[in-house]
Amino acid sequence: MTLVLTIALAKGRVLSPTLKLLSDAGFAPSEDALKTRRLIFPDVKEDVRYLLAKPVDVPTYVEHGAADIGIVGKDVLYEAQADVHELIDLQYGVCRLVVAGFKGTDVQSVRKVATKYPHFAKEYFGGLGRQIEIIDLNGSVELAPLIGLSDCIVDVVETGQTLKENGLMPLAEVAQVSTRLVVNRRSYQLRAAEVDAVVKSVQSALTKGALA
Amino acid sequence: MGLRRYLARPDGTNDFVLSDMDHREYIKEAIQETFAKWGYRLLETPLLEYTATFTKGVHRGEEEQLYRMFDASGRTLSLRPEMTTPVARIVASTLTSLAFPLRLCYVAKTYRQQDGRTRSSIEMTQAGIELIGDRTLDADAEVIAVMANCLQTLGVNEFRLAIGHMGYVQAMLGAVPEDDRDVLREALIDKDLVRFSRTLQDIKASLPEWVYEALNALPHTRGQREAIERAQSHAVDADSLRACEELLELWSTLEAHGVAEYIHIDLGLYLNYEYYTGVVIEGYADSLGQPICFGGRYDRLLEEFGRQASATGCVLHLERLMEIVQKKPTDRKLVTIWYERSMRETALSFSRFLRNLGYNAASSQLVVMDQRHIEDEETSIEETCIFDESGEFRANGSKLLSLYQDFIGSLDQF
Repeated sequence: MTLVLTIALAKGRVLSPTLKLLSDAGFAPSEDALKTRRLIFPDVKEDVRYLLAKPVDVPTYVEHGAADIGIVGKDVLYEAQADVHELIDLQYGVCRLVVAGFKGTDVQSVRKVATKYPHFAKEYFGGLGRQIEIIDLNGSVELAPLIGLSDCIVDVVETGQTLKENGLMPLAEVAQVSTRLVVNRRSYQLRAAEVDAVVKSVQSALTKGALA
Repeated sequence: MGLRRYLARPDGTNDFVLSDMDHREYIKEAIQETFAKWGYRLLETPLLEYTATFTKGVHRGEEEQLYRMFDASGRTLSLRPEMTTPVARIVASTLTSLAFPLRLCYVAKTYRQQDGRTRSSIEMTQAGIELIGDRTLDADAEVIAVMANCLQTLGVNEFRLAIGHMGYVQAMLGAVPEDDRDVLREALIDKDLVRFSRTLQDIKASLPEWVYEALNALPHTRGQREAIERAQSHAVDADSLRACEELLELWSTLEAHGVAEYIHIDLGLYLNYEYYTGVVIEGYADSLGQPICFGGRYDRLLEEFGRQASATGCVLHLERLMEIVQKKPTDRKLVTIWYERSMRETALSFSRFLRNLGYNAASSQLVVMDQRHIEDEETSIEETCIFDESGEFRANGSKLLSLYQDFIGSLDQF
């Protein structure tokens, strides 16, 4: 019996390095994932098919077993709190999650934090012994301290330009996140051989990439 | 405006009606029959127990997971979150005169608060067995074989039972300092192998090379019998070696049961309950992403209740089985009998005649017949017949007509 494994790929920021890694690992998606409008397409070499999804949905697809494997950022993965197996740190798509606010804000004494990442924020401030109030926002989080809605924000920074233009600055680092390969619990046991084969080729592509 | 509160179910609960309920009963009966075939006796316990029972048992320090309430004198009660603890309570209190080994089974609804992490339901029907007072590996193998047998009986073709050994993992983790051990343990429970290998990397310098290698290999030691041999080669102490010997014996016993093909050894399997002491089980079917069965050996639970006994057990998750087991067409067909009031006596007598023959017969007066029955008549798969006011008998199938002839014949005999 040939079993077709389904791999869920997160669209957006990490898609292009993901495709590079897959090709290094010997996979050949039938479509150009960056351009196609198809949501599911096969591989031309391996018994694998791909599913293109919004990053936040990748953990859900994998948790329910709609996809056997998922490739997605740790930021999204941690916030989803999905019950999946996390097998490899793919080491790309690295970004920093920081506490940011006005210069001089004392991180030890903030009360209100605006963020898209409530789990990271609670965990971080919990570690400082602070119980904070989370203001859940979905975009332009920088706005919150500007209008007095929150004392600071927890957000992903890449260049820090948006922060700077709004008079904010990074105050502390919450976490460094990178892209992860995750596996469904059932697939990990029941499709162990197939999953392990994919994991192995991805891992050796990673090692080669690191050496190059 | 959402659904009115009094029409809604609490989130995470479920109703089962009509064909869903038939399906559920079929699965439940097939499982109970299999349990009985292996010599397990069915038991029932109250849905409510004293909270103290659960905190003494499986739920030490996990009270938030319980649905708690007070009785009239202020004692805390809880809805049962699982069945192993009530079974242990019974075995240590009312069944003390019975000789070991005891084979007990149940099909019971259990309730657990959502922990905010998994969005699963708060209600789970556990169909499980407990084999108490048998410390041999044969008991572990039997429990696994019974689970495999249930899934075979239900026609679940593609399934696998992942088998681990808590004694092995704990002995292996025992080789690292306590703080790091906790991090590694949690990483294994979450199957976060990135965190596992990173933590290990951090403490690499403080560990002997071969211990580091052995721990690094731990979550990847999976497969068939050869995985146990690999685990053996990595064993760090006498306890972990003993666990490997146990697994080898388990494997050959499972072969003797004829179920080894369903087994997948996974030495990194760490079930999130500290009361497991030996072999642990987690089962999966191909068509569902989440586990359908889990359990293992718990040799120290019974002594908490004052009766020393080793024990092992495993449960099947009934609601998840309903998603993967193929529906079986019902064999007992329902006959619906409609009658004019003047024909009541004949119609009810005919209904009785049908029930005696083993049919399911429902009879109602014609005046209450819903328009929808008439519209459905063409497509209805149910057998329907009518006794109208002229005394005429009409039926939608020749089978029913000939049964009616038999009925008339039986009347003539008197």
